Amino acid sequence: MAVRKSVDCARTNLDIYDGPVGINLSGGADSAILLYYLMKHSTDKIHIFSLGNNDKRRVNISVATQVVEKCIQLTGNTNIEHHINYCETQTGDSVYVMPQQFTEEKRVKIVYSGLTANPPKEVLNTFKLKSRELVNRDPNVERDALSLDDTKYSPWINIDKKTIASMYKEEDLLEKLFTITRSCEYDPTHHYFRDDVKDPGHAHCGECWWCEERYWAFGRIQW
Amino acid sequence: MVVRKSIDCARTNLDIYDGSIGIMVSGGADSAILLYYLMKHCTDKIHIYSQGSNLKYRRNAIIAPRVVEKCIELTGNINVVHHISYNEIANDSSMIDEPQAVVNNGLINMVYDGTTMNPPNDIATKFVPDFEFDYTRNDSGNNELFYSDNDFYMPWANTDKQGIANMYRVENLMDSLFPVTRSCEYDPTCDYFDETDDPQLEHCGECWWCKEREWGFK
Repeated sequence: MAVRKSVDCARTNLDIYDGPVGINLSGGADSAILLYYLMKHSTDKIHIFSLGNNDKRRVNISVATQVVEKCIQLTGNTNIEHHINYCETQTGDSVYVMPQQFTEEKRVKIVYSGLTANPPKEVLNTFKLKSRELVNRDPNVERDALSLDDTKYSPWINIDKKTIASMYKEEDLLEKLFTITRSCEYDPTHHYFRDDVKDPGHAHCGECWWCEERYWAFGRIQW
Repeated sequence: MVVRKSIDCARTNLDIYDGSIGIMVSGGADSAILLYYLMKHCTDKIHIYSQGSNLKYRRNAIIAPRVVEKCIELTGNINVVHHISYNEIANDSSMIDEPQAVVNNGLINMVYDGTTMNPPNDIATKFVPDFEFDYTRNDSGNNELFYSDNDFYMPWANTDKQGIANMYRVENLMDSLFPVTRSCEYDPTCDYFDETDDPQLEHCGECWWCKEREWGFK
C-alpha cells in the first residue's frame, strides 16, 4: 500500500495512505483528532464508521455526527461518507464488522483506528475502575501499527492520551474540537454506575475509567 | 419484487417490499414519517441515505441523524444503517446516485422516496409569489409512484402535506417525531432571503417549504 505522505502529529508519525480509506469514529478525543488529521491531509474519499449500541443508548452517535460536522468546518473537506451502524451490545469485534466489509469489497484500502496505549501503570493504579482493555493497551509493549493483513492501521497504538492532548494543543483545537468530543463510557447496566453515579446524559460522568484517563491527560474533562 | 405487506397510512397505501431496502431521508416531515413506518413494519435491513450540502450549511446532515435516533426510540428497530454523504450543492442526481448504485449492485431491492404531492395549485402558488416551485409534484393525484426503472418508490406521490399531517396524528407522533423534523430550505445565496434572519437549525418561516409545512400541519 502506498503512503502518500507522512505527517508529524506532536512527534507521532501518521502515514496518509493512497486511495479511499476508512476510519472508526467513536466520538472520543482519540478518534476525533485522527479524523481531523485525515480530513486535513487526505485528498481521497474517507469512509467514516460509527457504531451506536443500545446498552449505552447510542449517545456516541450524536457526538460522532457533531465531530464530523466540526471537522468539515475546520478542514473544509467534504469528500467523506459517514456510515452509522447499530447493535445491542458493543464488543471489540462488532466495531470492525462494517469496516471489514468495506475492505473485503475493496471499497477502502485501509481502516484507521484511534486506539491509544494506556497511561503508565502507576497512574492506572489510582483509577477507581480497572479497564477491561488493559491487556490490549499495555504501554510497556511496543506494537505494530499495522494489523489484520495490513488493512487496519492504528497510528496512536504506542502513545498515550497525554500525547493526544499535545496534538490538540499543537493544532489549537482544545476549544474547537476537544470540547465537543466525549470519552465517557457510563454504563447504566453496571452496578458501579447504577448505585453511585448520576446519569450524565450526553455529558461526562467524571467517574468511569475513560473519564479519569481523559482528566489525567487533558487536566480537565471539558474545555 | 415481492410485497410482504401493505399498510394503511391514514388512507394512503404503503407497500413493504421483501428484503433489504433503502430510503432517502432529508430530515423533513415527509421522509421522517416514511422512515418511521418502514422501521415499524420492516424486519429486513434498512439503508438510510442522507446528504449534507455546503450551500445549506449541511443542516440536513445534522437533523437526519436526530430523526433516525427518534425513530429508533419509537420503534425499537436498530436493523438500520445510516449513510451520510456531503457535497457542494444537492440536486436530484446527487440524491439518487448512491442508492441507485447500491440497487444496481443487488444489495437493496427498492429505494423509498418520501416526495409528496403539492398542495392545490391555487394555494401553492400563493406561498411565495413568483417562486418556481417543483411542478413535477403536481396536485392532480395522478403522479407516478415509481421512477428510475421502478427502483425508486414514492408512496406519498399522491398525498399532500395535510395527508402527511394526518399520519402524524394517527400515529400520535405530533409531540415526539414531528418536532425533530425540519422542512426549511432557507438559502443564504438567494435574494429572497435578504431580509430573513438565518434560522440555524430552526425554521425560517418564509420559504416555500416552511409555508407548505404550516399549511399541512395548521
